[in-house]
Amino acid sequence: MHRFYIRLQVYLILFLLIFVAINTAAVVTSLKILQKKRLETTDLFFAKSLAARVYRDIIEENIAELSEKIFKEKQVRDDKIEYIMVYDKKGYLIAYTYFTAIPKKLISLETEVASTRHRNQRITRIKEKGLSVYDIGVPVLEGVMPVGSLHIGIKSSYLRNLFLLAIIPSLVVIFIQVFLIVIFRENIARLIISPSYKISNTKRSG
Amino acid sequence: MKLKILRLSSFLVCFSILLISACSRAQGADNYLGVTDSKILLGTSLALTGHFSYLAVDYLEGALSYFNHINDLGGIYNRKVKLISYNDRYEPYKTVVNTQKLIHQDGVFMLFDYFGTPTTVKIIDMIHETKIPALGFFSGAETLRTPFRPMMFNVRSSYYIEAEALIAYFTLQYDFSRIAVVYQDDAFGIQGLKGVQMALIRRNLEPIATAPYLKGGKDMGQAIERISKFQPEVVILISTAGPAIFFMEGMSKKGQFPYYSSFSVIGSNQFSERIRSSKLLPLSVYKKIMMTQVFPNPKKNDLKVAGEYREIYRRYYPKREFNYESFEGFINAKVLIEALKLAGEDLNRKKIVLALESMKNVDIGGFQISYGVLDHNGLDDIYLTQLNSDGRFVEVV
Repeated sequence: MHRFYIRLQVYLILFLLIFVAINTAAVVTSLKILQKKRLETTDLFFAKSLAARVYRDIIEENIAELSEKIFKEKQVRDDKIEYIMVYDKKGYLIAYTYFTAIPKKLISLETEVASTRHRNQRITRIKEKGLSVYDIGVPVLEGVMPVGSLHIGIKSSYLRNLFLLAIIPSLVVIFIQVFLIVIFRENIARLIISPSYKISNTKRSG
Repeated sequence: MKLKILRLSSFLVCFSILLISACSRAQGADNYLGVTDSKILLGTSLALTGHFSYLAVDYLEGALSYFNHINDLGGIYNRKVKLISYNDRYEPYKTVVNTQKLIHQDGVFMLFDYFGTPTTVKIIDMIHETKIPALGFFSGAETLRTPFRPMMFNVRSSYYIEAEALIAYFTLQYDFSRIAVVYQDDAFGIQGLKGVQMALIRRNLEPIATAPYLKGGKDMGQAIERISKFQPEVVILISTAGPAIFFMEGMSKKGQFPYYSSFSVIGSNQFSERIRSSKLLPLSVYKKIMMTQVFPNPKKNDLKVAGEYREIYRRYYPKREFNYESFEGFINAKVLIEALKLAGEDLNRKKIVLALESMKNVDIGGFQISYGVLDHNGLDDIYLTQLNSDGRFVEVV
């Protein structure tokens, strides 16, 4: 009986571990999907609407006005946006929000997307020393013709913080449940065993 | 016990039936909004003052003249047609507010004769959500046509068709390829620009230069500088009359006299008047100024509906001149009246939609209009006009 009792406690803990693992994986996966969706909807929409507001400055080569617009946008969303960069039709960088030198990776990224830059939107993860962003690249269109491209770097840390804010309460609840079950595992095992023990005793005496 | 259960179930069944019928009656009541035994209430919002009023007022009066005529004859199944019109001064959010008022406070039966692209595109979702039928828009914007909107019916052709006709004419007739575009920097201009770009792309071309300008277009200097650098053979003007004149005068000052063409919404009377009064546009330029029209010439003698329009419009607005804008309003009203007749005496919103959709090759006095279950665009005709030596637009194609 005692062996069965110990085995039941072990099974209980194993079950709990699997339960927690599956639960955590499900929460993390769904939040990652949400994060991706957020990038593909809210942030992409923001990039497109900004692109729609700057096409005129590009064709009129009004770089001062263009720079003012992108600096203003970055300023009001500083916790979220790492950079905004605007390229002309030929792929030359014409406005950007960096005060210091542009990280090398961003220059090479622009070369990478050059073939598709004017046609498609694109979200790329960039991770290197001192720079961790999701780069959203969208074409700047005048009517249906591309006149340039716009890139916005969404800080990974911003998305991670949102992610943690959402995930922490769920994880805390799960771990409290686990903790309580581990503490009270003996009582739970006894609760399960005692009726069957009683039945088998009655059967044996009968 | 069984009896109690039986009673309770019958009560629940009766209650559900009553609830469902009450709900459907409420929906039905919405369906009949704006229609009484003596009147059919319609609503519109347009620029009765301001920048575009010179077009919108004529457009409204054209429709009103035909409604007055029908009402004087006794109405449709003894119901008089009443059109409530609010002024939005061509400001999109004023259009939204006016439309909210028309739908929720005035309780109009349907929306009719709206004016402008930036204004009407703002009410598309409202039409969709409230399921109110809407007919006749003074705009060729593709957004009003694609994707398909079940409650919206266009009468005129789209800007894309106007652009295609223009580009086809200039590339086939003159073999021109150096085509530039000047456009108003709003939804109207962008829609027209897209139409021109797509028509050019189909011919492996693209505009050699483009220049947006701000609504009002008092300072066209930048557009003139930009476009003149490229010495275009044709300049497509997606604008109103004033900015178009400023632009053409500016190009003349630079010694450039390309072909010009504008879209139907420019207002041919005002446009030609201003060309005639300009000292910077010589007679030799006249034959190079063209514009598209989406309706036949209202002064045409061999067109039945044109004669009817002139007679009725003169009766109710004796001091007004005949023009394309009032003719368009008149035709919109005529299409609606035909649909109201088809919808029958027991009129409701569903029936007017079905009636419009059932109109196939309906003759409205010399030309035909057709709708279908999945086709809510009535006409796709384009008439190309050219300024003659008297400074008046005449049909060339």
